[in-house]
Amino acid sequence: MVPTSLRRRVNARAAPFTFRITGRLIGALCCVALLIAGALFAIAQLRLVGTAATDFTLTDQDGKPWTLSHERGRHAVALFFGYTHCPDVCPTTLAHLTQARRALAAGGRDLRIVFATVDAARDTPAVLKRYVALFDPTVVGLTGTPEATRPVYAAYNVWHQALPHGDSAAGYLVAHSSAIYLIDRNGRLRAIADWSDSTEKLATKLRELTS
Amino acid sequence: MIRTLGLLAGLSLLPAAATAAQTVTVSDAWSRPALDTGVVYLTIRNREAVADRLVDATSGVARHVEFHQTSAVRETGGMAMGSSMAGMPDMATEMRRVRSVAIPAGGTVAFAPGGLHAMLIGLRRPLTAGRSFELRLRFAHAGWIAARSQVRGI
Repeated sequence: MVPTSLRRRVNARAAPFTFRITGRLIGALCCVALLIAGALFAIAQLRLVGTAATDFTLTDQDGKPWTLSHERGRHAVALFFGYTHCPDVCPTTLAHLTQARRALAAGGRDLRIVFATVDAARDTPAVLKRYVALFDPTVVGLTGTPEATRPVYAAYNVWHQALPHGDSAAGYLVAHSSAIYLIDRNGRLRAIADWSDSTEKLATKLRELTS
Repeated sequence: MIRTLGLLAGLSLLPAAATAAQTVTVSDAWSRPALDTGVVYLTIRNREAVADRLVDATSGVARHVEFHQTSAVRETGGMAMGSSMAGMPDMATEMRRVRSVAIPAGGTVAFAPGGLHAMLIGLRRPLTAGRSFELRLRFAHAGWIAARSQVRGI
């Protein structure tokens, strides 16, 4: 005869085991769902390549309208999205792009680097002007009203999410897409690079874009 | 290296740190230009036979210093993925605060772009290329260790 207390203990052990199995099953299903979601996202991104880059107008660091199609026949464009309070990924992308551009013929005069904010609430034209000047004053910094930015994010599959950061003094951080859209002089999206590409790899891609 | 150790020991404000600084070293600290929120990348080496832990950091250039970890996110339609898929570029990134960083016995921990970094929050003035500044790191065992971070031009 098993004492009641022991039986209870056995049951108490069995219950978490069931939960663990269920938890693992849910975890596995979530992983599969996320893999599919990730693959769909990648396909959506890749489908943009080779198509005409969607035209848009936002406000530059001087408070003036900047239109992508105005660059046609003048400059190739390396467009990426970020925010000035971003300490790691955005400055790394900016640094790699400006370095890679310098390796191009004529110092990369044929290429415009464009940084569009995903944090327009903090990134005003004045803030963007000071920010891009720290790297390279020829970089175009773009911002705009939610009405102006929303269709741009949608056209370029830019996902971004302000993360409440209760335990950090940073206020809020923004998780965001880190793709770099490489648009040629004819306004065609030729390739998508990534922020983690080395300067050398980026330089090769930029050379192909501007040649 | 001896000179670096001497410098680190000399910079440490707490006398106790002078001895500890010989076994835990902080080197190659550098930053990128920044307006309001900056970054410091560095290398920590622990020559001790026991593990240590980086627990805090301060710098005169910023109101707060925190440790953060950047990681890749794969996202669509409100779903985020933490794992990475082979051959595919990172599509999105996010950062998480890390309260402390374990420094294994005899090990090296590198703070580098796209990974662990010290985040300078509320810069008192922009970090411009060519500037350098002091960052002080507090370890659970080794105490305070100071390092100079160089703002690298691009």
